[in-house]
Amino acid sequence: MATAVALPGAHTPLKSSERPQILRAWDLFSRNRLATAGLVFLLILGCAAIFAPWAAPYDPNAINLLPDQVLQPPSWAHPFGTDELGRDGFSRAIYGARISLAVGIIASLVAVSLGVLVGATAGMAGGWVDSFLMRSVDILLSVPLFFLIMISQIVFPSSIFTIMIIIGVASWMDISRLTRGEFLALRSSEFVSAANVVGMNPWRIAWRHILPNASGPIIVAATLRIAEAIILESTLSFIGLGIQPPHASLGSMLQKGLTRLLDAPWMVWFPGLLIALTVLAFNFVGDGIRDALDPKRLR
Amino acid sequence: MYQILLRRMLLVIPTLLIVSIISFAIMRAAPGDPVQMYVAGGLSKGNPEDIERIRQNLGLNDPLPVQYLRWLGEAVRGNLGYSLSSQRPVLDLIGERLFASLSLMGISLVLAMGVGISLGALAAIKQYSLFDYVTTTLAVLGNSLPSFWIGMILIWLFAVQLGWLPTGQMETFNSKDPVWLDRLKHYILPVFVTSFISLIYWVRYQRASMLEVLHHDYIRTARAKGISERRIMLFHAWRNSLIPIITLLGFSVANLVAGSYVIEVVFSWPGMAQFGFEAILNRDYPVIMGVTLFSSIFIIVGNLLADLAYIVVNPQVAASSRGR
Repeated sequence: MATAVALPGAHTPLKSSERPQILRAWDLFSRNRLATAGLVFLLILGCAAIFAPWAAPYDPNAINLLPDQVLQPPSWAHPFGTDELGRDGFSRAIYGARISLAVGIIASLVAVSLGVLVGATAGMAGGWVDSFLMRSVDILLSVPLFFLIMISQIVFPSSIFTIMIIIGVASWMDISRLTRGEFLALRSSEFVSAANVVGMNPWRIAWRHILPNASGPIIVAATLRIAEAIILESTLSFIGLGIQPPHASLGSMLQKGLTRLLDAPWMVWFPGLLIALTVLAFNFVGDGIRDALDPKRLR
Repeated sequence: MYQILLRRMLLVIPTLLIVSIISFAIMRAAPGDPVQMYVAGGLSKGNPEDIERIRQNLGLNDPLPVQYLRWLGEAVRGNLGYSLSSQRPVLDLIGERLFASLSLMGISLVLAMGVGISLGALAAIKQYSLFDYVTTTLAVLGNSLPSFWIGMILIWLFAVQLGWLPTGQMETFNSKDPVWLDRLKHYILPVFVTSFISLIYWVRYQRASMLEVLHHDYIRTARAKGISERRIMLFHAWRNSLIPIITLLGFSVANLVAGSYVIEVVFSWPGMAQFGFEAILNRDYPVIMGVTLFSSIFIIVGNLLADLAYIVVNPQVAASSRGR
């Protein structure tokens, strides 16, 4: 069994603690107050988003044009106020967060999959394949991506699905650089040589041995990438090129809000704050994971 | 290092080619017909025979690679074609808006760099102080707030509520203020937002780089020699910490180009990005191609500038090239 081969130096058990690595990482993570707060916030928001039909007090699309229901400032009945069609801002924000979170997470998954694929290929293959892939990444990083995303949005039928894919496809480049670096560093380590010696298929080595060891920085990058994807989606929706009605994301709620800055500024306050808090939470959690997985701190 | 610079130079041409091919391909995959837009602004169907004739004249019936090569052949000779909606040369139209965009980005870049480098260095010198804490928190916050939202909140506060500054545009028609003051007032909010979004990176990296440098032996040596703390910080630590920072310039320019689209939209800024955004909505293909091309030229120039600055700042590079 190739996986059972253990050479001295490879996976030396740490003496000081018998607890599995993942639990020690969790100890470090939970000691970080900001990261824990971020995680709690994301769990609450995630639950509200998943169970939106139950969490939202009103139907987010229910129009109520009675004069005392339109453009109402925040109150107990409507904590986030109402918009120009009398729709409840709080319920719309929950449904908006649902879409923003989904887009952020899926886009990040797409970006990480592509980035890992390209980065691992470059790192494993080396030679001209590596040069070619990395020069291509250099070129793609000089492309005005946001503009291309804007163009793609009018070309492809605008749906939530295409936005996820487009954002993901446009943001895998630095993850591939990161993955390649990790692979290059790990490729010369002893456990990889050992696997080579016993005649393992290089792709199997990449998948079973190198990737798990490189996963820490990749997970951190993926978490931070969710935050960036959420901002990107909200920016696109804000300028009217992202999520289209009848769906609403937090960004498209802000688009409406810009035209109502004069008489209903709460339409801008709350969706924006929610975006900021969500992004902040993902950033804190990402930093927390980074610190928790930092080998320098694992004694 | 010079090799890296040379390699970057050599990458300019393939980069521009690939940018233009990608945007050309994406646009031509679009379902709408640009000729419909050309005839009666897309309002009426138009006479089918006319439309066919126009398609023929514009060369839209040729195979796509032929159309692309024709565009490329004209582009290298400085002709980016004519706008479909206003029938004016694309280059002129972009030229009119270049100043608005470049001045906004240039001022913001210099401001973000200057303020960011100073704040980051100070935060590192006074690590774990209140100042450090506030600066780092601001940096994280700035990284998390969507720029357009900051812009909207500032418009609401300073333009709508307080009435001190205009809500957008670059100048007020028939303003009572002298021209320079009027311009200044229009620049304040967009420049603030644009520089704020890239300030964060400068603060973060400068702080990290300064902290790294402060742990070096030569700082201890300098202290042992009895050089004043002020001098050590300025000439020994700060100067060396700038070397890795300067590469951030390229990234920062790319960031500014991307960020300027939404900021120009929020502030109705009469710049190139806002113009490109309108062109996308109107499916004005030649204009879209032109704006894409100019945006990537900005990014490429930013990267080249970063490489050049790296050579200038880094004494090791200069020394190694003198040695040869």
